[in-house]
Amino acid sequence: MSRLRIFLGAVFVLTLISLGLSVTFTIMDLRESTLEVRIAKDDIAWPAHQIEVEAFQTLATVLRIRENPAILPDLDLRYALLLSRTDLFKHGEFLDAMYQLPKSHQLLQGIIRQAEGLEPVIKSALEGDSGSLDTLEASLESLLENAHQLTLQINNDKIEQIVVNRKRLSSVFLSTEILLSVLALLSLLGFVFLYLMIERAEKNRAEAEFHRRRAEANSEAKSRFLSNMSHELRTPLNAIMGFTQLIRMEGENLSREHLDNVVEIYNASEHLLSLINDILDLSKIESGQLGISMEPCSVMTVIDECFKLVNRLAYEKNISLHAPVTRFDYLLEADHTRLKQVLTNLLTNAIKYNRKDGWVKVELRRRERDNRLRIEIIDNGIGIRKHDQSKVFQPFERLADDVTIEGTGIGLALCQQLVMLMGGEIGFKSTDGEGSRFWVDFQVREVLAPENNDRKNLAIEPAPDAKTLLYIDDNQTNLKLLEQYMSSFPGLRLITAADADKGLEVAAQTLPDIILLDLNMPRITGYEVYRRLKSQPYLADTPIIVVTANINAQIEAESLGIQFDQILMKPLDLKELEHVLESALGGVTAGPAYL
Amino acid sequence: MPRTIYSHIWLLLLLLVTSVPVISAPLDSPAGRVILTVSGNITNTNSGDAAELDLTMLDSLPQFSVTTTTPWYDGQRKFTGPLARDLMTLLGASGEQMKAMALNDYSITIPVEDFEKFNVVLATRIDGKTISVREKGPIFVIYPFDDHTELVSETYYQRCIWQLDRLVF
Repeated sequence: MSRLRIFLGAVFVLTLISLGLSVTFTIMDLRESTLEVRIAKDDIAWPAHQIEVEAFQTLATVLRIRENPAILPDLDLRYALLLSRTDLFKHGEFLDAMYQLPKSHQLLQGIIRQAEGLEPVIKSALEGDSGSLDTLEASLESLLENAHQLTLQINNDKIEQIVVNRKRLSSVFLSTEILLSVLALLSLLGFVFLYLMIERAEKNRAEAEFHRRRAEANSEAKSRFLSNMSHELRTPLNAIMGFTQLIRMEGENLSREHLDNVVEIYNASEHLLSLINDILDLSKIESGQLGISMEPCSVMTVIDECFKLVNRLAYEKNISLHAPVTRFDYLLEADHTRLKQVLTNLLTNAIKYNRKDGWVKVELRRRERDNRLRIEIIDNGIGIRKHDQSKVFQPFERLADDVTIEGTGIGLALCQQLVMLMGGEIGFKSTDGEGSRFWVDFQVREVLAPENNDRKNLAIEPAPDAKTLLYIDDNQTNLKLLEQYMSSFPGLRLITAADADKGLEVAAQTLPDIILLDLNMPRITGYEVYRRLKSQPYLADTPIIVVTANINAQIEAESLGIQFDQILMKPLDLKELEHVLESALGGVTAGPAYL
Repeated sequence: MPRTIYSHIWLLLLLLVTSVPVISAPLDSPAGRVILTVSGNITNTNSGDAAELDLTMLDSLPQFSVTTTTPWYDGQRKFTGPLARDLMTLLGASGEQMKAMALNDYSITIPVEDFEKFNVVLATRIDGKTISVREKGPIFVIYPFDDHTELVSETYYQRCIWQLDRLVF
């Protein structure tokens, strides 16, 4: 279709060009023939007539000589003049012009012969032979008659030529006019075509603009939806997981069976939470809203943290985990949290899709050439079938037939997106039934020598006195949950406030050591409460831990000019909370023992 | 006082120098056959109010050759003779127009400025040979057509009068 269009366009343009050229050439030809300087062609009648005049003058001279023989020498000059007139047609342009008038030319040839033939008679007449004058007179009369005929003939020829020329010119004009009309018509067609094309392009542009705006609106709606979803899904999950943890902590009152059920509820909730997180992350990546904060990450620290997270799973599945054997550490160009997320995902997969008594090991290899580090997660599990390998990174593709293995098929797709966002690369090699080898590559910022590699242990000092914790949240369930949880920390005294106003009031009165603040409250938002708390002189240095289900909380806070000390995502992971409290307060005594 | 006199003398000398052509030696009488008669507004005469010239007198003027194509001949021909402006100087001729007449009384008026702008030759010879009456002699007025394309037009071809024998300023 487009090839045909190009061909037709080319034919059209070539036609226009050739038409234009032929018009130009016709006009040039016409110009040349009109402007040519040719005195002979234009003015042939005058010199031809001069022959008649000179013949007449010569005859007159002969007649005058008869009356006055003294002027006989004049005859010589007259004859020379006559011959000069006939000679004119023997060279140059006059000869050429005469060739174009065949009848006149023939007549002229006779006249030239006749004039030149007079020479002997003229000579004898000049020598005084009076008889020659008679012959001369007769000859000149005949010559005069012929010259007169020539004058008339040339006049006729000229008129004929003018008519022929006019006909030729009119046909040239006619053909030029036709050519010009066709050219004009084609140009008009070209303009119409161009107009239509421009109109269509404009329409396409407007349509594209409309689609773009709609996509923007959709994207905005999606982002709003995600933000709401995250809140709406996480709040009930928060309750479920929190209370399940509480029930487990009071496990001694439950039967073994009930305790197992509670553990199942907790595990299922945890899984649901990670699924929600994954789906939200993937959606955010797709809409380009996932922020990545690149910083130097210690690869050994990240791996260490990942191992802590997957340890329990590995233990349950009876899989042995092997950390990289190396004396070096590497600082990578990556986002610490996201790198941890990726490696945890890969490790979880390696553990889940493994065999009984299998192993998972992590290896590090640095490429000197481009200074990149490859982190490999190797397992000797079930592997990936060859024809499934192309689908590994596609979202919602689950390759394992084993339905007992949990998963949405979103993990690896998310990993790939995250790695790409961090400027890394991800790939794998796998043999069905023998195991898999997944790897990620990242740019190395710095190689840490072994002596710098000793990580300091955090010194935990027992608190000299009980610390005060203020919890501001309008959700009664959450307040109750934390009250119950905190009751097992003798070193902490919990004060709760069920709305923002009360929270601000209590904070000013009690000057707590640490504040837990829910962001989503009616009337006064958590952001505003945060700002007001921080603006009070006695509270300015008090650490505030923001608790929220809104995954965009940090971004929204930044847009309001607020920098949170610390954020804990809902549903609250009590262990994480304990850890945060510990670091903020320098140790919380007598934490409870739970799984 | 003397300075004024000197300056007047200088002025006088200057006048003399610039008017030398006008008051040149009186014109000789023609020894041979007269081929050109000049009359009208001229100061140097030898026959009443007119100046009669033979071929020798014309040859005594600086000779100039123009090689050019013309409508009357095939290819280029070499036309030789005095320049029209030199003849005017010789005869002390002045005026804006010159009437040129041929043996058969054909005549044409030529603007004198042509002679300043172009090397217009009063040709007495074609390719080195004198021109007979039959060959359009004795004098053929020729413009240098090949040197100036603007001359190629009917206007200047018409001014190329042949069988010239009289001039009137």
